[in-house]
Amino acid sequence: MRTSDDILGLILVFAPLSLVSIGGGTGIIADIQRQSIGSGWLTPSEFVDFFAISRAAPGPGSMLVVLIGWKVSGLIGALAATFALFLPSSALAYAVSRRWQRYAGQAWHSAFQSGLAPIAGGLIFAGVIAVFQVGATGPLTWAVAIGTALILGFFPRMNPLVLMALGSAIFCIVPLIG
Amino acid sequence: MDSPDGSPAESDRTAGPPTVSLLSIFTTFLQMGAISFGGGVTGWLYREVVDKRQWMSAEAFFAGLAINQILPGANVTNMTVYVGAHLRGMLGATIALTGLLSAPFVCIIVLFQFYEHFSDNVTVQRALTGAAAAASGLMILLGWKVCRQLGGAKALAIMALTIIAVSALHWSIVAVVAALAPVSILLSWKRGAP
Repeated sequence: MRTSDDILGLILVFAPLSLVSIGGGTGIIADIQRQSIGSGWLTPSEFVDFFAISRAAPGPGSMLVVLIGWKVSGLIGALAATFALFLPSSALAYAVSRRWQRYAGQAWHSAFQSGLAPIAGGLIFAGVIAVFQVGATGPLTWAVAIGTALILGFFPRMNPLVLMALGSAIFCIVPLIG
Repeated sequence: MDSPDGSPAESDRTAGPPTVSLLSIFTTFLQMGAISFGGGVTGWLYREVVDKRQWMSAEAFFAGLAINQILPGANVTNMTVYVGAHLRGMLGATIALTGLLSAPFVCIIVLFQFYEHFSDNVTVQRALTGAAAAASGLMILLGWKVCRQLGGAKALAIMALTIIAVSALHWSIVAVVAALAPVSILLSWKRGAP
């Protein structure tokens, strides 16, 4: 049946990603882009839109997969995608937290932390590239992206939503001027 | 929305956490999920769990943070599981996570309905592209922060390899992590990471 194929497809894509989402959902955006567009679930432009919506909405950014699941197969798809993405890493977190309530020895923990950090960082940049690869990119996109990074860098207390709203406003107004 | 797993919670409690109702766990995390815009959720969680409700000690909370940083999954979801597990074992963890994700789940689907309705509107399209550009900027900043903490040329090389593998070679992230993580951790271990 078509639907169960779709559901299986969603699970097979998102469940493995759950286990490599080091640093959270941000790290797996590149793969979500590649696989969801490659599977024909989304058009590139839809991916950009979904990415924006998931960043504006409350909750972790990985709720992006809820939108993908919904588009693919309605409520069942949304639920399947959610379970697939959140259950594996949560189960692992549960298992680890029960057994290492007080972990002994800093050495291995530090090695893990500083070992995974460059990969997490690389995945974040790969994610940015993934969004730019399919978005309408031009100087304005770069300007808003870099500008946002700089503003929030210098004013860390600023609400990210305000910056996203500004980005939206700029993109709406500039074409009217030009 | 979902049913708790069948197996009973293990009872290796240390220093007895308070008995907290499942409803209380659910509503606390429901609230947190509903207001979790942008960053800073961990701070909110700390205030609720450690300060206001004394569900766990600060020490235990930070131990959780430390271990969760090296685990896959978003910090907020892993901490939710951690706190829920501490209070009521597997059932607590499940209820907490369900609470956390419920409001965002509903909200994002509602937003999607609006999106579908207006998706062919040029202004909406531009607004979303602008928002995506800004959100990318947030990610760039995050990446930059991680970059600054890296200890040396080897770490930067690993980061560069990651970017090349994913963005240029289009390897799957699973493959990249499987290939690079052991190497990177080993290098880090040998370096005697601070």
